[in-house]
Amino acid sequence: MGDHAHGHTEMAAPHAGNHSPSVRQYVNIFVVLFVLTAVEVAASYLVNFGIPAWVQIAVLIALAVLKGVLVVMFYMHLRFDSRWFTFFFTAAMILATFGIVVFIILFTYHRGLVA
Amino acid sequence: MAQIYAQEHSDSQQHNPTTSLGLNSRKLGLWAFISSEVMFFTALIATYLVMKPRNLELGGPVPEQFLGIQLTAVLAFILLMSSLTMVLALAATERNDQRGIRRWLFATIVLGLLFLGGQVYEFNKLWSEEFVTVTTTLPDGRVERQGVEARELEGELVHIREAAPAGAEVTAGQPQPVTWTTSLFGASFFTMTGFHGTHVGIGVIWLSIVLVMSMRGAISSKNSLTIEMAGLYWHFVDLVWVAIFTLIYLI
Repeated sequence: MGDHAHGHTEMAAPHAGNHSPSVRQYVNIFVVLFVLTAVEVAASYLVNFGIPAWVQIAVLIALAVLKGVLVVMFYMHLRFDSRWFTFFFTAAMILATFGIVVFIILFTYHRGLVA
Repeated sequence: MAQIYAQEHSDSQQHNPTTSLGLNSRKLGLWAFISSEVMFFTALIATYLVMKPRNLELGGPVPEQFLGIQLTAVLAFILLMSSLTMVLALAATERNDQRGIRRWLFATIVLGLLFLGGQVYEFNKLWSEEFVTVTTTLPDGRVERQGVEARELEGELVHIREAAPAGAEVTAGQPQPVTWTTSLFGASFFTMTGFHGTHVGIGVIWLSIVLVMSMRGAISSKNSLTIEMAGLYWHFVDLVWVAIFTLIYLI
């Protein structure tokens, strides 16, 4: 994180005192997000070409995570802001991921709810 | 670097004392709120994912049949666009570009309303059309399910029976619309996407208030946190759609 922040300081140098991303960076991030969304839609047809379903699911989740990280880091400024905010958000995301996995295992495979 | 950014952004907010962590209290509050929202939507998404297989076993509708990804891909694009216009509004605020603030806030509101319109269209389609689940039980005991629109059932049944291997049993369920109360799918899907839509609606109201404040000259680079806070909430709502789009519509 420290290296990234240092790199950004150099990028933002022309605007002394303003450490938010530039308009150009915002637009670049948007273009990347747009392309990733298009790739996601294309990837949702992978199973039709004989690709195993788990590969498709892994690719789609990886793309979604990448999109989410870009939004949070640049549009929500976590890359440039206090790391306490990153901590708050990341802690909730880890708990959320853990929760979803646990609930799916409990109620889909173990059948606690329906068996 | 992070400290410099946090310091500058909290210094510009004269009326908001910093917390003992040295963070702006309003912003810390919003991030704590966003964290709680993460857990809220996690509960809704987990419920949907858990209900999905059970819904099929109970003869509920087959989601793949009517959750068209074309419309939702457009909705995902609209929300992405709105996130861009939102950060452009923030950038305009930091430049103290008053016309820019209003232009980009207005664009964000319009995109938010477009998204809501798309969702209303989708919900209305699900509520007003009837769907039938056709179950094919193969000779080896495996079960395949397909969703068919009720008005196309006769023709589709012929196709499905022709395509099924010898000895397979094809049965059609009762035609029913997809509503909140007709199936586990409907209940979990509408609760989840409905709450997301509600969040978009609240975001539109929040942004409209900020736009009115801006038109009265109450927004400038000195209180850019007002725009940044609305933006953080708005991007979070976009983030939830990134998750819903992938987990519910694409997978």
